[in-house]
Amino acid sequence: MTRSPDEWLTAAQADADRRGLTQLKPLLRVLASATETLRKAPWNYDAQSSQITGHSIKGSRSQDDKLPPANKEP
Amino acid sequence: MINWCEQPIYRLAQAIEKKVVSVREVIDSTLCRIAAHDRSLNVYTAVLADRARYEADKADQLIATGHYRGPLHGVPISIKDLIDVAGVPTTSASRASNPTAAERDATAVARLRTAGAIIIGKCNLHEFAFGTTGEDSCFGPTLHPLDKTRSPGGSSSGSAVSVATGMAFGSVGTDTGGSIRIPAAACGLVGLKPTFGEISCDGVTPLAPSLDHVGPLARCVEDARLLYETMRNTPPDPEKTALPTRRILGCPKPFFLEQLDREIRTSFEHSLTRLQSTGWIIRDTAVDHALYSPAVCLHLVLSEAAATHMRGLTTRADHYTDGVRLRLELGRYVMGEDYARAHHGRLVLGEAIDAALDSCDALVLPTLPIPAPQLATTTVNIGNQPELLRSVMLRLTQLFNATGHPAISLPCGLTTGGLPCGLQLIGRLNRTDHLLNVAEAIEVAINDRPRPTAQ
Repeated sequence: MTRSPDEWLTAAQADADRRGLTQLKPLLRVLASATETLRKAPWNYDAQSSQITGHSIKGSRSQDDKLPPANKEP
Repeated sequence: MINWCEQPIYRLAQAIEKKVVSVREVIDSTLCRIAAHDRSLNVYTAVLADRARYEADKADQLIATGHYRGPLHGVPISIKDLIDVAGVPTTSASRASNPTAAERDATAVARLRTAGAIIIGKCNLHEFAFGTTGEDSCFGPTLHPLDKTRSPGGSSSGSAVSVATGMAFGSVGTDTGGSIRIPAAACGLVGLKPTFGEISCDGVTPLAPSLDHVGPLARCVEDARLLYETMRNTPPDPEKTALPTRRILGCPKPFFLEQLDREIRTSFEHSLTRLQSTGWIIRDTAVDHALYSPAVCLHLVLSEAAATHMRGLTTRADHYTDGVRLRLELGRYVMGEDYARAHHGRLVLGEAIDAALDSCDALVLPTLPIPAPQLATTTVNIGNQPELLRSVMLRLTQLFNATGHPAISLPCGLTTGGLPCGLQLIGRLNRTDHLLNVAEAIEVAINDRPRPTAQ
């Protein structure tokens, strides 16, 4: 299941109501806003792109080391 | 007559070694301070008076027989009540904690004891270290020693006030988003968050294990270094303790200097001017993507804290204070894919900090964007813009928990109302020794502070 921050917020607020945690609703709005920001960050990987759109990180996987050496053998 | 309770550890240690003062006298003076101020400031959750007196007499006997153990011999140290001390329950300032006594000392505490320190008591905190003010505690809030209508900062609130008021000579705190550096800045102390993992979290109640750090609060950098070197997992590497040679600091203005209280900005800029007048070079720099750091840190800490407290939330949710319970519950709503994005972000941000550090000894920025806040405040105005207090308090510190870089807060003057301001230095990963060298040199250059004392 994947959700946009708006869809997530609606579902989470309904769940908070169901659990009697109405005080959680303003905090959920803060979290939804942060999630929206996080998803817009330029480093996020995008499997739909033919390019690596994610920010390259030392020690993280790149196109050259996606597979362990054993799997690169014919 | 010297009031030993207000002296730094290194000066007290000389006096103890030379028998100018006995350990028993030091402990009795410290207990007198506690008796005089603890009730009004709400600093300690447990005072270990009898045990401390017993250990003091033993410490004096050792000195009498020529067995001085080093600069922590007989020095009273307080411990945040999130950290195990054998024979005492670790309350975490919560009714939801396990009420049984800890069977053994946390590793950091054991190392201090081996070096001769005397544990004088356990300190109040923000419940489970999940807050920046110290207000949410089953013992009630710790109050600021200079203004009892204000918070001393948190979550290591009691630790900071114990050192600031002479109720301990140093303290051990924890820092998951700034919980050592924030109260250090608010109370005019030195607070060190070492590189991630340098001091063991064994015997420490976890909050967010990939962000949790243990570190000292002290009256000066030399004392912080002594406590850090005693508690750390590995001995100091002489190669890494070489003095700074470049005397260059990088000041990351974008994001970090954008939203500051006017007096904090004035104090910080005054400190930079003083540093420049003593030969330091201040270069403008930037940490790429820093504006994303609050979102990254929020997703990391909420998810991990919710996981850590899953059993407590399931079985005794009503035992938590309302504020902490709600934030823990909030973490249960973070989606796994967003935690993964945040984890990726912390790596990107770590590299950005490394790049900013490339051409300087350390980064320099304020510790807290505001002075110690009024109690019962949830929002503050910076530049006429209302913001959540918690977000403001964490803004300049939390990133370095996510990336693991060592960070230290030093006092850097007072507001016109007499409240302390803090200057923060960030060092390279695994180079905490070097950061301490830089901090020591900077402390000398900007040190014109009066010591906070209890009202």
